[in-house]
Amino acid sequence: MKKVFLVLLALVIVAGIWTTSDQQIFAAETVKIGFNAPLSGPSAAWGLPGLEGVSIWLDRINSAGGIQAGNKKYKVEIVKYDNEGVGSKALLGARKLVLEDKVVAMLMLGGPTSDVAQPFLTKHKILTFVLIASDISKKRPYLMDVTDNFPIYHLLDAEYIAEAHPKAKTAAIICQDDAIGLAAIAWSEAGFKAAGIEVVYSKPFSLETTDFAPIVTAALATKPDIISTGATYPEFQALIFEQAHTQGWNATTGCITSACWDFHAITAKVPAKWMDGAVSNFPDFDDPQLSEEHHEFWNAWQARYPGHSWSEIVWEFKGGLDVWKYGVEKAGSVNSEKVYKALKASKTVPHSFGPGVWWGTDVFGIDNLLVPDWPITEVENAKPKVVAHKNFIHWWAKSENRKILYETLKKWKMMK
Amino acid sequence: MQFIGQMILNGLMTSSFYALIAVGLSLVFGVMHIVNFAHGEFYMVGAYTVWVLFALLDWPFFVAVGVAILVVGILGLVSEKLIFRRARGNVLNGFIMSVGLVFILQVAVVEIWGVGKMKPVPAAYPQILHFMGATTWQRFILFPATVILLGSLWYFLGNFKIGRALRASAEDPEAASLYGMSPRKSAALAMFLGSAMAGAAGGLMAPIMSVHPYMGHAVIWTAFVVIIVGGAGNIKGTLYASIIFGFLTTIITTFLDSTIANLVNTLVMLVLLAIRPEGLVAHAEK
Repeated sequence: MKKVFLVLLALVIVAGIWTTSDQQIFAAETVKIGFNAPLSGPSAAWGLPGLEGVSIWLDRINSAGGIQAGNKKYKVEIVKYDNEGVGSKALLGARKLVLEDKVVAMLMLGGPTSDVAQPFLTKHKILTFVLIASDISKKRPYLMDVTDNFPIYHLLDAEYIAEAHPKAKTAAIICQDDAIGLAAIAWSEAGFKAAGIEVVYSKPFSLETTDFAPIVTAALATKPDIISTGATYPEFQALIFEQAHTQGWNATTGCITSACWDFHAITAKVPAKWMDGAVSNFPDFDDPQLSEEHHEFWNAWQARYPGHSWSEIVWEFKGGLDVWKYGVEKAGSVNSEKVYKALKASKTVPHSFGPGVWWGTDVFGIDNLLVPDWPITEVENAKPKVVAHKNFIHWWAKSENRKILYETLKKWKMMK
Repeated sequence: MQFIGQMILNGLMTSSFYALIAVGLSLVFGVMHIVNFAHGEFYMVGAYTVWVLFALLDWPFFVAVGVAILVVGILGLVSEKLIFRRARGNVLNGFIMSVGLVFILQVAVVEIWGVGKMKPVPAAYPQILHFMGATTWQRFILFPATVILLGSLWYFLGNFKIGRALRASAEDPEAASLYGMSPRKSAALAMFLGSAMAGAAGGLMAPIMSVHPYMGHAVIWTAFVVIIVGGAGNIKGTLYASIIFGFLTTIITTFLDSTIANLVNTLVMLVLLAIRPEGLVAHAEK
């Protein structure tokens, strides 16, 4: 009996040593994620702030010992590549990150860069998180949007505006002529139509536009109650609102709406009060309606980057990493394909704004969009405040809404 | 009626801007025969100067614009001395050097102030002026400022010996020497004045446009269209072309859209280039 006890004790000790050394070996292992986004050039505002949130996430995860994948623990490293928002450079970045750096997943902005880089990433089965839902396609099974619900939230904005501003009956949509802008126009138009609001202006403007006076003159001639700037880039948005304000437009029955705001730029051009009541989708993370976790992230970001401008980009790439971590833990592996399958097998996945469900087959051909209850914000003293939450799945459940969306996407040649 | 008035007002503002940015480019081409692609970046440096002095350091707006004119004028002078002088007589070399200068200036600005969101420049005169339509005083001052700056340039070129020498250089570099001015001096002066005009445009437009390191891209093509139609190196022609394209762009953008406006502008330029390659105003009429 004593012998058996000694043998068992020896086995336990050996196993203990083995496990400890095993963990030490694996704790030293590092898993790499690619950050293939514009870090310079005109689109840098859509990439650079993302590194701020990612660096906070990395420190939090790595200081806690890393990420658990089965019985292994990995430190996480982000390998960044500046694609300048250019498709060919995004492909070069994808090749470098996958073939040389051996990343297991990729964070990207999406849009034109996706179109060029995705065939390569799909061939190598690299899980890619983008911020533009309309990039999702069944030809790109490993591309997912797990944070930004662009352009879907435009439907919800329109629904909210119809409820909060019932006298608003007409809308002008002013947005740029590129893949992102056109998607915003099409989805906003569908949202307004479904909400019983007539779209009186929806001409995309050229990216070369420097003077918005004639564009706003034309839009205001249609007497809109609502002005939507869709997903207009920040450098255009402030100039559009300046012209709308100068040319005397005032939201008496409606409001202005946009995917997001650059308050710093806008309030340099129009009085802050003019923005009051503006409807959008992205709260600051110190909003009382959000959770303690959001507030902690906000505080960490403010402490690390004092004086920097907050934008949704700060948290969205980090939000992708949260979902990836969830997938790794579910899969017990960092293997891209296994993580993807584990994520898709989960009925709900934690999104930054709460539990999300997969959707997308009906429009994109594959359920790779994570849809949570999305917050709607209204501006008060140049700060967005959460005033409601809207659920796209409820919107989609109405057959009339689906019909309008299909028709509008076909009109804008986004669906056959 | 208000709609038409607003459109005319918009056209007037656009024409003023086109004139301010294109005249400097035209002057440089006329004297130096250099296609200066960095003219857009000179405009950008002017805007950044006003952003720093007016928006960040609270200097009076017009003092900031004055400094922008001087800074960009000197930048042009230095560029001529260090870069363009070596390309004299070779349009292709000059063009390639100017493209290089585009990247140098963009990277320099990015290194100093970073990229990211546009630099917000508040309006110094945000009050709204109701004249035909509605515009801010900030925007409206572009018109008298353009008239004053271009008028001064015109007066200088016509009434000062050194100015007449510069005009003569545009016709024939050797003729300028009759006024006692070497081709080297003509080039330096043209570059200073042309660049200073770009600095003025950037400075005056900073509160109206988006200030970022790549803002020069958006204006350089339009400026070239204007000077080609006006007759490269022809100041009067450039002014006429600025007015034509200012109103054409405004009207087409209002009734159709801005993409079509760009297309039509380019088409007009190509047609004019085919039927009247010397530009709207022939050199003898300058």
